This record gives sequence, structure tokens and C-alpha cells, in this order.
Amino acid sequence: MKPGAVPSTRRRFLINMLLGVAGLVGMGALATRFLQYLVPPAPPQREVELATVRLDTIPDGAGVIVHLPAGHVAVERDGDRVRAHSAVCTHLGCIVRWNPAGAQAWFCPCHHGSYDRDGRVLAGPPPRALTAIPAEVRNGMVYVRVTVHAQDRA
Amino acid sequence: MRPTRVRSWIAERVPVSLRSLEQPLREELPVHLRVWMGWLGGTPLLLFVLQVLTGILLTFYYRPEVTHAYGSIRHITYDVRFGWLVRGIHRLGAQLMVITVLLHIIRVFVTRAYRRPRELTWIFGAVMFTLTLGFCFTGYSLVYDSLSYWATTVGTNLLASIPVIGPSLLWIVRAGPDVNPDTLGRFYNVHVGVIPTVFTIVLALHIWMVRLHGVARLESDPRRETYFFFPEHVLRETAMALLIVLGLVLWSMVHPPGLGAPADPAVTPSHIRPEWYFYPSYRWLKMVPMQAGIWTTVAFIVGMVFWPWIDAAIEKRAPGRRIGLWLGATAFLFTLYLLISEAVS
Amino acid sequence: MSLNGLKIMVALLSLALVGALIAAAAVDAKRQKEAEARANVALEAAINPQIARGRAVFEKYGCNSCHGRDGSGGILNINAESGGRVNDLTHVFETYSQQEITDRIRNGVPEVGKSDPTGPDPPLRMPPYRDLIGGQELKDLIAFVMHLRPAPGSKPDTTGW
Repeated sequence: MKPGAVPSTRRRFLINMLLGVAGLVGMGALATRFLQYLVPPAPPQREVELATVRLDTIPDGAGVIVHLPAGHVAVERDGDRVRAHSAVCTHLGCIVRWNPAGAQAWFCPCHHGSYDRDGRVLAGPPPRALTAIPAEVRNGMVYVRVTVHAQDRA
Repeated sequence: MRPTRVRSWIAERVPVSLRSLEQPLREELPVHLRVWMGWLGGTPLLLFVLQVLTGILLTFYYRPEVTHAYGSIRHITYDVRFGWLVRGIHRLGAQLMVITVLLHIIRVFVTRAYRRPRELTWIFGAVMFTLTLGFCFTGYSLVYDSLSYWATTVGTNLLASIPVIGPSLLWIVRAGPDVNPDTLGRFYNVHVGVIPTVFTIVLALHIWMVRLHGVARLESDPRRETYFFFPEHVLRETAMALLIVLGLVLWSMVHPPGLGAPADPAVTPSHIRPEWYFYPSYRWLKMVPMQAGIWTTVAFIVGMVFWPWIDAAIEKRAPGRRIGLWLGATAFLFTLYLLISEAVS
Repeated sequence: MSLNGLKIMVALLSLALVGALIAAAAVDAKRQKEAEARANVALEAAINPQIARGRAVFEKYGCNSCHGRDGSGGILNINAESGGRVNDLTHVFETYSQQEITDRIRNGVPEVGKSDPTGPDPPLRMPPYRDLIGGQELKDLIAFVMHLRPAPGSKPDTTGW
């Protein structure tokens, strides 16, 4: 028999198995690290109060969309108070527009979803109401409470 | 050096016999392939090569950064020498590639070239068709004008509707909880690195399979004559290729590519739509509830991928009645109806 | 088609392609001229100290916060005539005289036209700057605004073809 040859088939089988398993585990570990690279963790987030617009820039009974780095807010003025909702349509993420017509207040141009002043769905494909955002008016300025997450890239 | 010295110099370093290289050129093709629809196999290949060439040229000036993407495309279109031509060929070439792939699929479908033992060739082809649509979707997202940004946003949001894995899939695709600078980078890399690599591998396998099996006979054609791949078929495909490149150049001259307004994440335009090749699924998903739409689309894709076996089973039960052909024709007409009704709405 | 017929067709198509590419050079030359004109304007502006000073004035008084960086496009102004946004300034050089620009900067624009007459009043107006900007600063600012040019391709491209 040649030197270095494995005499028994059982030993050869076990060593091959060891090689195969070790190789697979090694590649699997590398693949896992690469996958973790691709899937970002949830960024830390906080609830903050942000100033948006002065109340007197919104005509009474009208609505505007305020674009904050934290997101898009649909603000509707009702006398001295405001109602605020997320301006992101719950169907497929388009930004709604102020479009009063009967009970309709907000309208989504993408698939014609329609919401009332309280963000409830009136017509169209949106599955849920617009998310309400706490808002209040202080010293003539409209403030909203939103969740912001870290943006470490410009 | 004398010719034989040259030949032996090469033969020693590249130990491959000239005869085995010549063999694919001497391949005989069944004469039913002489019609114009038979010239279509090489056309998607030509267009792919053209897309890679123009695509690589575009990457020399394109910047996959949110703040620079639009501006770099404007630079290519209006300032770079023949930038309008490179971009025009790339954009129209993409549309033509979808069309020629579809025509090629129709040709293969109607001639039943996928039947045993060529089912694997069909599967590779189905994968490439999906990848082609992936190319188009990711490529369009890179323009970063208003329509492009919102079509991509809405298109990816659809992923969240997939049960169980949807939201996680969307998270991975977007690199986070919402569209962010990494999202563009992700789409760019998939468009420029991942899909081209996978596509090239699958394409090589597909062509290898075709060469291994030879072109399938047409069942209804009793003729047994053949003609040679080289030079006759090569000349046909070259003529078609030249016609296409000529068309792309002329069209780019007459109708150079333009640019819409820059993307504004705060404002969704009044009329957003995906590109025309997505009209059928877009229309279908508007007609039926979301979940039903997703499941029927998945069923359609599975049916398409495994069609050779489905068709074989049908032929066994009802031989000669070409039920498979009728099914295909119905599916095609329905898709056409969806496309047209979306286009005119 | 015979083999020779095919060869002739391929040869003719090749020549046609060459012809098309030569013609493409003519199209490109025209576009290059326009690009060069734009580059010249940019170069003049870069070496002209008044334009640089004017840009500094533009930024100092916050003009870009409404009209966009380098007056390239304004922020939302619901129902404003100028496309629902504060107007961009890239066409000022060909629309207004020096005096008209001076008047608008000094007196502001108190009335903004409505795109939809039945819709709400546009919330944003241009305030008067006569008490803030004057003298050399005003001259520099006007020179800056008058040198602004529209970027090419600002027209919407609705087809993918």
C-alpha cells in the first residue's frame, strides 16, 4: 500500500464528511456575514416635536403638505386648531394632495385614493386611514410630534 | 514567419483543434428557420451586448448619488460628446430588447421548440426574461427624474404586499425603513453588477444547451433539408443586427432622449405610471384585489417556467389538438388587452 | 434570399450605418455648440468677481431659501401661477429689464397670481428688500440674477422612447 493511503473505507468516509461539513460551515459563515452586510439594522429613533409652518400661512379651512426631513405631514387648519396626518398614502406610498370636494379633503394622484379631514378612507384602494400625527398650535406656530431616525448620511 | 510555423506556435500554446472550433459553424439548421421570425434568436443577444457596451460607457459619467444622479444624466445628454447617442441607444435598446425577447419567446412557443429534451433551455430562457424585466426596472430607477423616482417608489412598495416576507423584502431592497441614499446605490449595483453577471452566466448556459441539442424540428414541417449556420444564418442575423443598430442610431438622432423634472420626494406628480412593459401587471393589479393579483401573477410565472411539462401533459391527454397553443394565444391576447386598456386610459 | 443577396444586403446596411453615424456628427456638433455656449457663460461668471459677490448677496439675504440654489427652482407655493411653486430665476435675463428687477427686489411682490382662481391664495409673497439691500450689494445682486441661465432639458420628457 502507498504511504499516506487511508486503509479503511469507514475512516475515509468520516474524513470526507469532516471536510465537507467544515467546508460548508465555513462558506455558510462567510455568506452569513455578507448577508448581514446587506441588511441594515433598524436605526435608532426618537419622538420629537418639530415646528412646521406659521398658522396664518394656512388659509382657514384649507390644508397644506409640510415636508420635514422626518417625513411628509398633511396639515389642515380649522380655525385656531389644526389636524395633522401622515401625507403618505397607505396604498403604495405616494404623497397625497389637498383637494377638498364634499367630504374629501386629501386625494392621492396615483390610484385616486380619497381621504376625509380625519384621514379616513372615503374611496379608492387605500387599505387604512392616514396615520394621525399629534399637532398643536402655540404662539401662532404649528408643532407636530413625529418619529425621527438617525441619518448618518447626507 | 511562415504560416505553418505560426500555426504550430499557436497550436502548442492553445491546444485546441481547429476542426472542433469550426464545428459549431458547420451546424445544420432546419429550413423552417429561414423565415424572418427565425432571425430573432440572436437579436436579444445583440441587444444585450449593445446594452452592456452603452451601459459601460454611461457608467463613465453617471454618478449614483442622490444629489448628483439627475445632474450627471443631464450632463451626459447635453454636454458629453455623443452622450445623447449613447444614452439614446441604451434607452431604446432596452425597449427593443424586451420586444425581441417577447417575439423570440412567441416563436419558440408556437414552434414548440421547448419540448423534451429541451426543457432546460426553456427554463434558462424564462429566467433571462425575468432578469430582462429586472434590468428595465432597476435601470429606470437610476434616472432620478420625477417619474422615475415615483415609479420606483410605488413599484417597490408593492413588495410589502407579499404575505409573510413582504415587509422584510422591502427593507432589504430599500436598505432601511424608507427610501434613503443607499437605496439608489443598491439599485445601481444590481443593475450594473448583479444582474449582468447572472444574466451572462444563464445566457452562456442557454446558448450551450441550444448548441448541444441543435435547433428543434418543427413538428408540422415534413421537410428534412437543412442549411448551414455559417455563412447563411450568420448573414441573416448580421443583417438583422445592422438593421437594428441603424434604427437605434437614426431614432436617437430624430428623437434624442430628454429629461423630466428632477425627482422631488415631497410631491407626487399627477400622472405616474410604470413603463409600458409593466402595463399588463399594473392593469391587472388595479382590476383585482391586491392579494388575488399577487397570487395569480405568481401562478402565471410558475406556469410559464414549467410550461414544457404542462404542455407535454396536455399533449398526452389530447394529442394533436394544439390546446397548448390555444392557451398561449389566449394568454397573449389577454395580456395585450391589459396593455392596451392601460395605455389608452 | 440567396447567399449573394444576403451578402449584398449586409454590405449595404453597413454602409447605411456608416452614413447614419456621419450624419450623427452633425447633430452632435449643434449640441456641442450649445454646450460650449453654456460653458462660456459659466466661465465668465466664474472669473467675474461681481457675479461671485452677487451670489454671496443672494445667499446672505436668503433668496435661495425660496427661489432655490442659484435660483434654479422655488419651493412649494400652493396654487401660485408659476406652477404651484415660487418661480425660478433662470429666465429673468430675457423677461425683465434691469429697472424692473430693481423694482421687484426693492418693493417685493405683494400679489402672487393664482393658478386656479377658485383655489386658495398662495401663502408665500416676496417681501420688500429696500431697507436691507442697496448700493453696491444691490448692483451685484442684479448682475448675478441677470447672468442666470436655464439648465438644458428642463422640459418634461413624457415618453420612454
